[in-house]
Amino acid sequence: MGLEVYFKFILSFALILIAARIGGEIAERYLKQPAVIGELVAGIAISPFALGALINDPIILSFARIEHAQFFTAKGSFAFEVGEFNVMQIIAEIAVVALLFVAGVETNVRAFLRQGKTGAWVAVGGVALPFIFGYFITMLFYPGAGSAAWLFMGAVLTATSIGVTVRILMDMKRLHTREGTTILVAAVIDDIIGIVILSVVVAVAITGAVNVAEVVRIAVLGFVIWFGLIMLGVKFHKYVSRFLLNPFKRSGTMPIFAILVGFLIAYLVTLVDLHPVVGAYAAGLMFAATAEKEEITEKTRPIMLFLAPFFFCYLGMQVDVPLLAGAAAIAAILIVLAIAGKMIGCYVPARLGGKLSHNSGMIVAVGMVPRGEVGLIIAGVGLSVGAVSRELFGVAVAVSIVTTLVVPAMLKPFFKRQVASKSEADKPPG
Amino acid sequence: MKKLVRELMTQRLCRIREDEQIYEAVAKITEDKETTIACVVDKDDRLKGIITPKRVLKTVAVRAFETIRHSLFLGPGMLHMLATAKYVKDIMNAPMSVRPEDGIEKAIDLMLELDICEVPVVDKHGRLLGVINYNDIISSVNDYLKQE
Repeated sequence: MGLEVYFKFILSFALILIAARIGGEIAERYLKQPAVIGELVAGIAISPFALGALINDPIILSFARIEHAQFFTAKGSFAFEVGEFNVMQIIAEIAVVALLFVAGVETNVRAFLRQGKTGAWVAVGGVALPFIFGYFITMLFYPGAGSAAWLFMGAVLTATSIGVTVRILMDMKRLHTREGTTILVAAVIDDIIGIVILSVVVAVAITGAVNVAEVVRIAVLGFVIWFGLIMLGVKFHKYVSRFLLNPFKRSGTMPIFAILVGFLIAYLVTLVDLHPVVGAYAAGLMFAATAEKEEITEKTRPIMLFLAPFFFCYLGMQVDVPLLAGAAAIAAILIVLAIAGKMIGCYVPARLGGKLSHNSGMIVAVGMVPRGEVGLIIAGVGLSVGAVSRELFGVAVAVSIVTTLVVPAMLKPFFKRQVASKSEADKPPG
Repeated sequence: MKKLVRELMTQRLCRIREDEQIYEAVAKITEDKETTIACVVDKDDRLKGIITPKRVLKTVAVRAFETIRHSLFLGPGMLHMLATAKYVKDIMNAPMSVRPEDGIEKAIDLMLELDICEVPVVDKHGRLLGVINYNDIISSVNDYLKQE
């Protein structure tokens, strides 16, 4: 295989990132939608099932795999051979680790440990119901797809997008309210739950059967690892700073070293069968409690902003639009249930656990509807391990796009109704 | 060359209590146009954080203007904090400081690292003693540059 093959990957890399940025910019600036939506749509547009087909090249804007890559030892003798691997997949994997690391560092760990109670109830309700809906609807429509596919589609529907909810609440000037805080805390918690569920469903997909002992082991390990790393950050942040961060301060590379630690932990958790994103997120949470949090966030965000659009655009590229048209019925049903499931699952605990009024409960319920990054990550992993078909993957992407687009319009009537009793709404949280 | 923070530090600084509200802090910051950062202290005068012009501008931009909301560089966590904060302690940057016996190169390092023009000086208990600023540093070094 000539070198030009590798050079073509550079072109592909550039084209995907440029398309993603243009899509993201249009979405942000003109449509007032989160950049993720634009990146996904750009990916769908340039996919090998759409514009990419015009180029008609196995590598440029396509998913060529490098086959029979051979690795040699330093002395030149043959060491081992990898059957085949997809370069784009590897870049996407690196991108998603960077994405979740930064998401972890940004998390307000202390606030969320302090005021997590109502949020936790809302999160659990909002995870359970959509998961059950996703699982059974997929089972109904695709009885032959197997339990791994059903589990994946359930998992895809679990996690609310923090980025999207923050924007929407800010645009409506409702971030300060008790509802706003509840939504944010719940969105943080359901991300964590979603990521742990991801590890469980991957394990099921690989072993092919639901082994209860294995599921429990992975779920427990996942929570132990992220809780352990949070506590390490909260209780021993001085030592984390002294041993991991301080040595690199003088050269100004401290934030870079932090994200490298994130990559290392992302790999280490795979040794106990967890998915790398669990490790990346937990590593981020560890640094979130240190005094260097802000500097790390500020300087690693550019790295994430460079790579993450690749991930979302690459996901968009995997959507086969004609194939998705054939699955329109299940897509429509899942979208409706994704919205209804989240709303019921969050409304009930908000009323009972959080003692919110009907209107406030509805605001929390609707605010939790948008699914974003984490759901897409789960869907992407499902596709790459072969548990989710391309058709179902397209459905998952459609769910994420539609649930994000409908929320602002759905929230407005509840906010309007609230203006009458504004004094109650503007009470500080807690 | 060797110079100590003690030789250049000044008492002219902006001091804010951590439990003050943001608008009160802004009023204090604007009182003296020579000072650029605000030193946030607790009731025992221990340094708890600093407020940089960049942080104040970001808060103002998020609260009063639309533009910065769509900056991807700000991230949801930061956006949330800036938009909802009420007290100084909610928006302040992590504390960073030098001691009187440190060399001024340490102050320069911090200024470069954090893009600021003033660094608080504290004693060994963390109590605020003064600040060392950009103007005093460069004017003290200028003779050295001339001789070079």
